Amino acid sequence: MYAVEAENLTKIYRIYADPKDRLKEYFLRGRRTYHQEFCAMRDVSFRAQVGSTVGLIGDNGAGKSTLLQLVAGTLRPTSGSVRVQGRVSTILELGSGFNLEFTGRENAFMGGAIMGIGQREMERRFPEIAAFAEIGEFIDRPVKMYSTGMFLRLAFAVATSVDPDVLIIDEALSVGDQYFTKKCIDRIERFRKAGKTILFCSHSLYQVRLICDHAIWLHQGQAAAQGEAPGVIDAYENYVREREAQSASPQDSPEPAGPKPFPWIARVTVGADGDDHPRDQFTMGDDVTVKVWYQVPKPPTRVHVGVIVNRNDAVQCFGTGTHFSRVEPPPRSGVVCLCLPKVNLLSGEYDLSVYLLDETGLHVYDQRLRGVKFKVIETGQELGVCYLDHRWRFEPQPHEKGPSVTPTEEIPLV
Amino acid sequence: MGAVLGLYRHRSLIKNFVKRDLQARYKGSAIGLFWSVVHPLVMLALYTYIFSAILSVRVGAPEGTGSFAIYLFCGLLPWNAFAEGVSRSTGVILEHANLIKRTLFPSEVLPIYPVVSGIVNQLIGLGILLAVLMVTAHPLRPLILILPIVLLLQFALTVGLAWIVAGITVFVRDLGQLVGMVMTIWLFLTPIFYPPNLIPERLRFLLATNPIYALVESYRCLILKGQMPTGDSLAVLGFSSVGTFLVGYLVFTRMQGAFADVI
Repeated sequence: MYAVEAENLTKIYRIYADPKDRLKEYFLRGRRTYHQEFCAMRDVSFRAQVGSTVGLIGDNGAGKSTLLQLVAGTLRPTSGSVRVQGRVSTILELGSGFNLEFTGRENAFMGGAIMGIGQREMERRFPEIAAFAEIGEFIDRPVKMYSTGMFLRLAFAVATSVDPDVLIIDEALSVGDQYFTKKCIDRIERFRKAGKTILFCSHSLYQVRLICDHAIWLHQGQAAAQGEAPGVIDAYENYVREREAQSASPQDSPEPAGPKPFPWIARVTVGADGDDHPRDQFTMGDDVTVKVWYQVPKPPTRVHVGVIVNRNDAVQCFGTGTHFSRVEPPPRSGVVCLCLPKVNLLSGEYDLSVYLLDETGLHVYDQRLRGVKFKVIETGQELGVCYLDHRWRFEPQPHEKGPSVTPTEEIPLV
Repeated sequence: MGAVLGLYRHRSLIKNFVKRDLQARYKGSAIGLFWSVVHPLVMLALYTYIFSAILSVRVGAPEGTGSFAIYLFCGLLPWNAFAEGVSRSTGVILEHANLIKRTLFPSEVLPIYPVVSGIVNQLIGLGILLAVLMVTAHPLRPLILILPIVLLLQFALTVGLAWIVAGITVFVRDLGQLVGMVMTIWLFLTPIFYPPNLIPERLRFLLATNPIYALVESYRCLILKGQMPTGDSLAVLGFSSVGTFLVGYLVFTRMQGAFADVI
C-alpha cells in the first residue's frame, strides 16, 4: 500500500529572455522557439509506503523543493505522474498565507479555509492551535506584532492542524530556535506514530537520519541514490566530503613511477585477515590486513613502512609505521602486513596512504597517497569517525534526593 | 456545471476572502466599514450639486426620473461593481503568488473575491439609492424583486471576464494596463453619463452588442421606470453572462496549472 507513487517525474521550465518572447512564441505557434529549457527534475520515481517517512537530501538547487512541490501538486510535472492517497498538507513555507495586518486568530481561520476546513471545524480545532502556538493574548493582536518565534509556532500549528494523511515538509524546521524545532519534531513524531506518511526535506542530515526510514538523494534534478535512509545518507555524506577534500587540495603531486634507483612500493592491497583476496568493503569490526609489497634495488637497505588510514574527506583516522612500533622489516624486497583486528571505523569511504621510508623514518623513498580505497559499513546510527567503546549510566542529581540538601549543609562533609 | 459546484464547495473560502478584503480596506481606520456608506452618499450629493444645481442637466420623463443625479447614480452602481471586479482581477493572482506556489490552493477562487467585494459595495449604494427614492416619494414597484436575478447575471458576467483577465495577466502582464484603458473606453461608450436616445441612429448597433448596456438598462427599468426590462436586453444579458462565465471558467482552469511556473 503506497501513500505516494511518483513515476518518472520530469519538470522542465521554459525560460524567456524577454517577456515579449513568450507572446511571440505563442503567436508563431511553434514555428520558432524563443525559450531556453531548464530541467529542474529529470526522471525521478519513488514510492512511499503508508506510514513511512521519506527524507530528501541533496545540495541547494538539487531539486528537493521541486520534487516536494510536484508531489504536493502546486507544480505540475512536464511529464510523469504523481499519485497521492489521502489528504495532503504542505508546509512548504511557514506562514506564507498570513496577512500581517490581521490577528493570529483571523489568520488561523483563514489558513484553515485555504486548506479546506470550514469555520465550525476550525473553531473545534482552534484551542489546540492556540495551545501549540503559546502566544497567549497575542492571538487577538495583528500578526505584525509577533516575534519570529510566535509567528512560526502559529504557522506550524495551523499547517499541521488539518490532520493530514500525507504531510509534506520543506525545510520548515531549519528556521526558528531550538525550542521551536523541538516542538515541531515532537509533533512530527506524533504524526509518525499515528501512521501518517511524511515527506521531509532538510539540510540537517542528522534529523533525516533520526526521522526517516527512506531517503532520496537528489543531485542536479536526478535521484543519485534512494533506499534505506542510512545507506543513502552515507552515500551523500561521502560525496560531500569528497568534494570538500577536492576543493581543499586540488591535486596531490603526481606519483613518480618506478623502477627507480632507490626502494619503491610495488603494490598495496587491503583484505580480510587470513584471506589473500583484496577486498574493498568491510563491516565495522572486521579484521583488516594491509599488505605492502616493496622492492629494494640495492640490498641490504633498511626501510620502514608507514600506513595512514584516511577518510575520503582527508581526515586522518589513524596512522602508524614500523618505526613507531619498533619493528624492522627485512632489508631486502619483501611484503609487510599490517593487521588491524576489529576495525572500529564507522561507515564511510576510506583510503590508505602508504609510505616507504628510510631507516630514520624521516626521508620518504616512495609513497602511494590515498591510493587504495575501501568502504566500511555499519548497521548502527552512531556518528563520527570511529566507534568508541561506551556504555550509559544514570545517576540522580544530589539535590533531587531531598529538598533539604543545600550547599551549606554539604560543607561539613568536606 | 462544474464551475458552479466548485464555487459552492469553496464558499467558505470565498466568504473569508471577501471578509478579509473588505476589512483590509478599512483596517486601522477609525470608523471602518462606515466609509463604504459615506463614500456613495458623498458621490450622490456631488452629482446632484454638479448636474442639477450647476449644469442643470435634466433627463426626460421616459427615463423614470427627472433628476440626472439619480439617473447617473443608478447606472454607475452596476458599472462600478463590474469595473472593480474586472480591474482588480488583473493583479489578484500575482498578489497571492505565495498561496499558489506554497500551498494547495484552488486559484479559481481568487478572481472571485474582488467581484463579490464590488457587489457588496454596490448593494450598499443600492440601499442608499432606494432610501433616497423612498424619501423623494418615487414609486417603487414589486418588480424590483427581480433585481436579484439581474444581480446574479451581473455576477456571472463579471466573474467570467475576471477569470479570463486574471489568467492571461499572469503570462502577459501588459494586460493590466490594457484593461484599465479598455474599461474607461467601455464606460464612455455605454449610456451611463448620457441617455441612450442621444446616440445617433447609425451607431445604435453598438448598444445591441453591449452586455453592460443591457445590464444598466435592466437596473434603470426595474428601479426607476418600474418596468420589466425589454426582452432584447434580457436576452443579451443572459446569453453573454452565462457564455462569459463558462468560457472564463474553461480558460482559467486550462491556464491555472502553469501559474506556479511563471509567477
